[in-house]
Amino acid sequence: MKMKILFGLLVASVVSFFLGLPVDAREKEKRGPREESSSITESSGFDAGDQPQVPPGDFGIQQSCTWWWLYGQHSWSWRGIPGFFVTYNSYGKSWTEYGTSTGGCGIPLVVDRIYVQVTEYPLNSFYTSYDNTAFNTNFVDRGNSGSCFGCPNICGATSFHQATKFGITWSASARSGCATP
Amino acid sequence: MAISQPGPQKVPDLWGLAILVYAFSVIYLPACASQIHKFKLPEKLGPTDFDYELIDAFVKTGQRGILTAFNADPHMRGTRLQLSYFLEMSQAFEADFLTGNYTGEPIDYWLICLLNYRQQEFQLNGQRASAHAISIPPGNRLRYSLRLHPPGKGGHDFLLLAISRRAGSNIPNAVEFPVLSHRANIFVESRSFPPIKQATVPQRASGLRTTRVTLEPSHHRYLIHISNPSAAALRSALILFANSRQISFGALGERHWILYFNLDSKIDAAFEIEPHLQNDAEVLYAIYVQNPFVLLEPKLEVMNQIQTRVEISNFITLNANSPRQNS
Repeated sequence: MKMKILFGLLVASVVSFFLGLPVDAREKEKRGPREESSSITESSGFDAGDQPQVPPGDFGIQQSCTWWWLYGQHSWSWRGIPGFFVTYNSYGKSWTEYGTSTGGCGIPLVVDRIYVQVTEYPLNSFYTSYDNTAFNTNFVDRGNSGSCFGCPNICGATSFHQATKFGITWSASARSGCATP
Repeated sequence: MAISQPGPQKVPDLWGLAILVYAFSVIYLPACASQIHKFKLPEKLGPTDFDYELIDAFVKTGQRGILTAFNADPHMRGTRLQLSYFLEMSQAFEADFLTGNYTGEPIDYWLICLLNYRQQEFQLNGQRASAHAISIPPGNRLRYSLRLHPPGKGGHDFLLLAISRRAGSNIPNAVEFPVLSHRANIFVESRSFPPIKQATVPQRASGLRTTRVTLEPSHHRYLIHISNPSAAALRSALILFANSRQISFGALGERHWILYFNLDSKIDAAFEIEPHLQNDAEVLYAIYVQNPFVLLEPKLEVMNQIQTRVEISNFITLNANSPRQNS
């Protein structure tokens, strides 16, 4: 009987110990699922950059891929009758690669945080902007699509691309269509 | 013959032992546990300088963009991520900010420091002001030393903003890099963030799926739009600036310097604000912060993988006819 009581007290004390630990509620932030991009149509805007070239006279030998490249790209398209009914798509992505002086080598470069933001430009003041962030990876993308009565067509877009590693951030942007100054 | 009989066996005092164990577990161990979560200054000092090998890995490519980097004084005890700093009372916050302009065009910014989302005076390269104008010619990389007066005891959100001085267009992103920022926690002998009062803002199911904060004139006030298209609710902070100065504003029946609120998932929020503008105000914009007062490094060297973006609205150029509520 005494052993049962002792055992019960031990269990109660262990439970009390763990319940008494302070918990920082802020450390229990929920993370939403990563949203996938919509379909991609023609590319426009920011060039993905040249593929690495073999230096003349060094046939078959490439420079070592130790430099860091941030790439970004966006695209957009629409169908319909502007001002009456349009369907639209847009998409943006950012990615980082190891590379050479001439461009990426296709080797993923993992960064702490990578970001893409796309702003769709219409002919009037109706703007849609969306973004996505990814962590400990080399790629992030996001798309937007829909339909709208009475809306104008998308005529251009801007995209913003950012990569952060160890407190150092590289930011780049691209513009296309009517968003180009 | 005398036969000795063993006396009654002495049973260990199990009751006493049980009480001791219980008291130890319920009283002493939780007290120790709470000590674990009390403030402890990290022993390891922070990095002594920027990682120039990493910086050069980007810069040497010749790709177009802007480089920004932040490195606090080693005695701020930051990690390589530069997201958390640990100070003693009366210790000033000192750091270097590096920015490189590889856009091919000159860039001009206001540098502004906020502590818990209130603009602070700070020294930049020895000069003290609440906003410092910097200009970086194309192809140049400049380093600035900043010093902030000692923050008080507690956990703080630190925000360094570089806001484009080329504002003037109402079109979002008409300025190529309208805002650059570095956000971090500063802990001064405590990890407790200040309590905040959250407002309830009018919300409706999202139709636009936009995450940009936009300002538009509305009658004699301004309408602010913010959306949260993600699957998770978003704690938010909103502040307003006129020129390079943070201003208070009326919203939802109260006066605010900072408006804290929650945005539910897949929600648009739109509500009117009345900025308290001075007569010399030429441009108005909002700064929106996702998830204020969170541990940016829940464990040292591990980045918190939640949305902690700092966004800027479109710039509204003010004129004589713009709605004004003079402060």
